[in-house]
Order: sequence, then C-alpha cells, then structure tokens
Amino acid sequence: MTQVTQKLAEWIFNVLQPQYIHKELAFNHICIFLQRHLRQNLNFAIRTKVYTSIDSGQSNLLVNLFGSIPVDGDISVPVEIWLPLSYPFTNANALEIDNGVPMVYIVPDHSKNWYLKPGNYVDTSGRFYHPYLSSWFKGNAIKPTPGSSYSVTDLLDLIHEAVVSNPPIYSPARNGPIQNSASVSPPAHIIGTPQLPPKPPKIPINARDPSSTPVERQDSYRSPQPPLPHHPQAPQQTQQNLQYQQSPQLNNSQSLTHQGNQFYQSSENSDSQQPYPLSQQTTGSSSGPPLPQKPSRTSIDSPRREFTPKNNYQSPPPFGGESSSSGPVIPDKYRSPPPLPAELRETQSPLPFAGSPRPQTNSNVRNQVQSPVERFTPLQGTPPNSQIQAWNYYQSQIHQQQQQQQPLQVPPQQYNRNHLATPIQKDPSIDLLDSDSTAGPQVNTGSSNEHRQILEQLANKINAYLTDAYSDSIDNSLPMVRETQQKVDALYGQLNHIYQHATENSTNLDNHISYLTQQLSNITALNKDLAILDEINAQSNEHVSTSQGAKIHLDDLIIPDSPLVKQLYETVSEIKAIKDTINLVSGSFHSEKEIINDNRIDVCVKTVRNLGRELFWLELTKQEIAHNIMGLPPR
Amino acid sequence: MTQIEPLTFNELRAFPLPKYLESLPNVNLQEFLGDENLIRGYVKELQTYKDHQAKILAQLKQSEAVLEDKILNDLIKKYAQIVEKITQQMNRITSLYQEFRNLEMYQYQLLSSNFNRDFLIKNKFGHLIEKNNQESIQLVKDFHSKVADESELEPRLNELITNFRKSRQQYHLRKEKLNRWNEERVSGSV
Repeated sequence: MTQVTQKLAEWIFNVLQPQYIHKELAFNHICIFLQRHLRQNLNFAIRTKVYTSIDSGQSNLLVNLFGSIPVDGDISVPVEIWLPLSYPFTNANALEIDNGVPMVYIVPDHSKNWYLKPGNYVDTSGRFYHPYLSSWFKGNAIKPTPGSSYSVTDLLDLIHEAVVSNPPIYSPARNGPIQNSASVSPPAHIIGTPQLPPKPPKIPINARDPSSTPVERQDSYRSPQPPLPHHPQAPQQTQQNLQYQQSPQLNNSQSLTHQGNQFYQSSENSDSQQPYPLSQQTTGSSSGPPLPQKPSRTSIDSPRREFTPKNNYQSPPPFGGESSSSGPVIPDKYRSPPPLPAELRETQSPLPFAGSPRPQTNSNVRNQVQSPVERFTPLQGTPPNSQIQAWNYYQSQIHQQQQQQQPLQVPPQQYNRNHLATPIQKDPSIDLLDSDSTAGPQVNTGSSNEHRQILEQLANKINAYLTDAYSDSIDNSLPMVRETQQKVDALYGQLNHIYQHATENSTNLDNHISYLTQQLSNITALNKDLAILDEINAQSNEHVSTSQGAKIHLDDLIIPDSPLVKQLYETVSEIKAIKDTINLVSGSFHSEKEIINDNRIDVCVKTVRNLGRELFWLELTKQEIAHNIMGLPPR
Repeated sequence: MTQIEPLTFNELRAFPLPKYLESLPNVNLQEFLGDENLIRGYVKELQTYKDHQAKILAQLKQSEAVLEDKILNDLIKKYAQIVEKITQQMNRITSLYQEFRNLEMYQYQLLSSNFNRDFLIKNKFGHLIEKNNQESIQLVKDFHSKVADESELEPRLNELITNFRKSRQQYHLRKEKLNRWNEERVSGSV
C-alpha cells in the first residue's frame, strides 16, 4: 500500500480547505483512495481542474482523480472522477446545486486512436452512470453512517468492474469503426454496438459541442473535453435503477430533460436554450472559481507543474457541515490536515471496530461489489483492513453514531481475478506532484534496496575515514593536540614550581643579607672598641684594659700556679732582696759605692746582723717549702 | 580541561543525508560514493564535524594562550625579575662577605695588638721589671747624693734599707714570675 506522504496530504488538505464542505470526510476518502491506487493497482493520480457545471454554469476548481484502467493489452480506459464541493453528501437544508455525488467521465485519448463507445454505463458524452451513483447516499440529506461505504474507492472498484466487462473505448485500427451518431469523436458508423434510442424531440440538441465542459484550464491538450453532465437519476427513483442499468441511454435522456429544466430555472438565462458548458473564455477569469493557495515548493507538492492559479485564496469560506459546528476556533487556513487513515490506525488503536469486517453497503446494487479491502488483500500481500477500520472509526467519531451492521463476507478471489486479468502496474509512474519537489525520492523496492546499499557503503566509507589513521581527519591530530596540551601544562607547572622556589630563595637571600649586614655592623662596632682598647693599652705600662673602664694590673694578671708556689716565690724574692741589701751595704751591688764606712759602721753592722737573721729564717722556710713540702730536688 | 575524545560515527550524525544528496539518483550517489574527496568534503561540512574541529582548535588555542599569556608574558617576565633580584642579592652577599673578611682581619689585628701574650704582655712585664731595677738603683744614688749630718744618718740608712729591700723584693718576684711564665709555669687570665 502506498504511503501518502505528509506533503501530499497537506496539499490535499489545502486544496479542500477553501470550498469543500466536508473537508475531513473528503480528505479521508481521497487519502484512502490514493493509498490504494496511487502508483499502484489502477495507477490513479490526483489533480485539481476547473469544472463548469452544466446545471448552473458555475465553474469550480474541483479535485480530479484520473487514471487509466487497462482493459487488454492495447486499450486502457481513461477515467476521470470529479469530486463536487459537497462531496460526499449534501445537507438537507443546503442549497447546493451538486448533490455530493462524484461525477465520472470516460475521456478517450484520441491521439492513440481511441474513441468512445457508449454502452450500458457510458453515454455519448463519456459520462459514466451506475446504480451505485444513483443510490449515492440515498435521500441526499443523510450523513454517512459507519456502516455505509459510499466512497470514491468503492466507486472505482465498480468502474473497474464495469469497464472491464463492457469496455467503453474501442480502437478503430483493431476493432474497426463503430457507428455512433450521438458520439462526438468517433465515426458515425459503429459496428457491433446496439442502436441508441432516438432522442426525445423536445430536447433540442445544441450544435455546440457539449464536450467543452468541463473546462480544463491547464490540460488543454486533453481532448475530448468532458461531456455534458448527464446527471444520474434522482436518488428517489429506486425503481429505475434496474431499468437504468439496462438502458442507461434512455435514462440519460430523461435525466437531460430534467436537468435541463432545472438549469433554465436556476440560471435565469432566457437566451440559452440548452445547457452547455461554459468555457474558460466565457466565464472569464473574474468569474472563475477561486483557486486554492498553491503550497510552497519547499513544503507542499503541487499537483501539476503547468497549473498556475490566478488568484490565491484570501478568505476561505467558513466551515460547513460538521466541521463548523464542532470544529475548533482555529481559522481554516491555519489548520493542519487531519491524520491520515494510517495514522488513525496507529494513534487510536485498538479501534472499536477492530476485528469487525467491513459493513455491507446499503443498496442491493452493491451485491456484486466486492469490498476493496478484501479484494486487494491477496494482491497487496498486506491486509489494508486496519486502514478501513481506521476510516470507519474516523467516520464514527464524526457522526457519533455507531451502527454495527452485518458484515459482508466477500470472497477475495473475485476482485483478484478481475485484477489479475488486467496487469496492474506496480512500477512507479510519474509523480502526481512536481518532480522537482524537495521531498524524498519515491523509489520502488529494487531502487530502494540499491539506495540503501549505497547508503550503507557511504556509512562504511565515512566510518573508515573517521577511523583511518592516515586520513586527514581532525581526529588524527588529537594525539598531537593532547601531547601539546600535556607539554604545555607540564611546562607551565614546572616553570611555576621553579618560580615559586626562586621566589622563596630570594626571600631567604634577603634574610641572609639582613643577618650578614647585622653581623658586619657588630664586627665593625667590636673593631671600634678594640681600636680604643689598643690605644688605652698602649698608653698603660702596668695595666691591661679589656674594655673601657676595666683594666687589670700585670701582677694580678700573672700569678703562680698555686698559693704554695706563690709563698715560695715570695720567700725566694725576699731572700734575694735581703742579699741585694747586704751587698749594697758592703758595696757589691751594681758597682755602687758601699754604704758602710767608719762613721756608719755601727748602724750598718746592726742592720746587716738583722738582715742575716731574717735571711736565716727565710732560707729555712724556703727549704721547708721547696724540699719538704713540694719535694723539689735540691740544687 | 576535559580530554577530547575522537569523533565516532554515531556522534558524527552523517545520516540522514541532506535533501540535496538524498534526492540524487543512485547513479549520482554512486559517483558520490566513489569520490573520496566528495566524501571527505561532505564529512568536513557536517556541523558535528565542524563543532568537533572547533573544540580541538579551542583546546589548541587554550594551550597557546597558556604558552603566551601565562608563560611568555607572565612567568618569563617574572623569571627575569627574580633572576635580576637574586643576582643583586648574590652581589650584595659577596660584598658583605668581603667586608666581613676585612673586618675580621682588622679585628684580628686589634686583638693581637691588645692581647698578644708573647710580644705585648711579656715585653710590657719585662719593662715593668726593668723599671723596678732602675728604681732600686735610683734609691741608692739618691742616698749617696745627699750628704747628711751624723744625726740623720741612721734614719736615712734605715729608710734606704727598707725601700731598697722592698723594691728588690718586688723586682725579684716579678722576675721570678716572668721566668716561670717562660717556663709555662704560671697561670692567670693570660
């Protein structure tokens, strides 16, 4: 199942925002349709085109789902499904001209020599009719219930069934010419087709080509143009459904008459006798429908490159339907698209309808219609049931009605058989959106695998570049950076440490200098004192001065070892002094004249006698100290 | 600073590829894949790679800032200042030492001149002994120089004997001390 990208969803929602009444319903129908048929299965795409209603002559920019249903190997049936603004239903009180029924046209490609062949389901203008469309939301005023399944997805299934069983396209080169007087493009003679009933005389067929409606603004190369809108029968004509199914042309004529009357009443155009479509030139750009604002290329894909809206939407109409009644206050143009059906499945699981099969449609004409979910299941390989359940759940949320109906058991082989008869294109066709979009590439499985392999190889190369030790990656310089940082940190640490040491050493040197200076001052002062003492000692012969005011006599400075020795010294010196005195008296002292003479003989004798007596005792004392006490050897 | 770890593949966030690469056809992607320069350029243009590179450059700049601001402009200048200061201090100490040597020598000289035992004190003591000897002789000469009458003869003679005996006794005592000093048989403060 193709995943509708977010940008495509945003584009769809932006397209639906301005004019569509049931935006969210239409959005979900379209998303489910595209999930099933975008670039797969029946290979349908989406675009916007201007559709001019044959009823009112009003032109509107509608959503157009287009694609080709292959019938056989040579012929494909180009189908265009127009979604009216009131899709999928109209309110009872609404005065919309369209009734919400999608309009289906078969648009043959004449360049391929394909021509329209009217049949049971297709009229001469290419409009497709089916009882499913006639019974589309029977009553036209009811909202869909969870059990109902009127959607473009189911519609395409029926279209596929119808065109395969009764191809509305033929190729003259292969089948030969077909006579059809009512047909515009094919030759007049149609071989092998039933004769169309004559048209009612009261309905004048205008000479103008009715295939000019709807007007295509951009796809002018497409011809023929969509035919005159032949509305299907009124929904209340249930009895005509079977008849219509058998002879749609007749009913078409009736429908034309009826629709033509309505057109004349509503348009008030007395000059026009026939409801033919209005071209772009007749409607003019000013009367044309406002085009939705084209999404920016960076965010939203545009449907066609050649589509250029002439005027952007400035003030979108207010919400209608259920959106306006219960919607938030946020303006429409700022609202984000609702979640995709797949997202609904993820975010709101488990669903209340989980496990319940798709409900049966409300009409008996659907008895041959297979559930697209079950029909596509064998082909897709992945059951899309959950998305349908999500869609049903979303519908139930909108209408707040849960009507559980009897599930329809449909054998999946039927649709599979039909689709297997026509090869389904699985290869991606051209993108609906701009090919130069900035969105990610949409590749098929093989290309995706190759793309993934390339990315893996790229990842390996990037990893190898990062881990290669010889590349020029910045990481290879990390060791050098780390080493440099470590060196710088170590250098700074060492230098700072050494600087701290130097600072401390300088402080110590200052202390040393201060100490040495102090010591030098002391030495200087001491030297000064010594110099003063030197002068004092030089002047004194009997004293030695150690400081100013402190002087010692030499006799006190030099003393004997012991008192006994001192006594001995004194005794000896006394003995020698007595002897010098006796010698002086006798005249033998240093050649001095004698003292004794005749006049002083008595005094001298007397003195010498006393000296001799003292000398005797001193000698005795000396002998006693020196020999007897000190034990000195005798001389 | 926290250590910068090598950039890993997960941290590089090379994927998803930017849209201008992601949207390329496989052929162009193959061409991109085969060109090492393109891959290298793509990696180097990634924001995470640029941030990683900027982080490494910031670390280098921080190392450079440490080298320039803290070491070159701050520490080196402080080093020059502290070296100059220490040099001046060393010169000052050298001069102080030299001055100390001079003062020391001068002090030795002063001490030697004041308290030299062998030359100064012994000589001084010897001069003192000689002074006593001269004093004794001077007493005798004084006695002989004065001629007194007979009445004063005996007192003058007794005075001479007493003074002379005292002077000679001090003379012999000092002389004995000096002799014993020379024989290292004296004591005292000397």
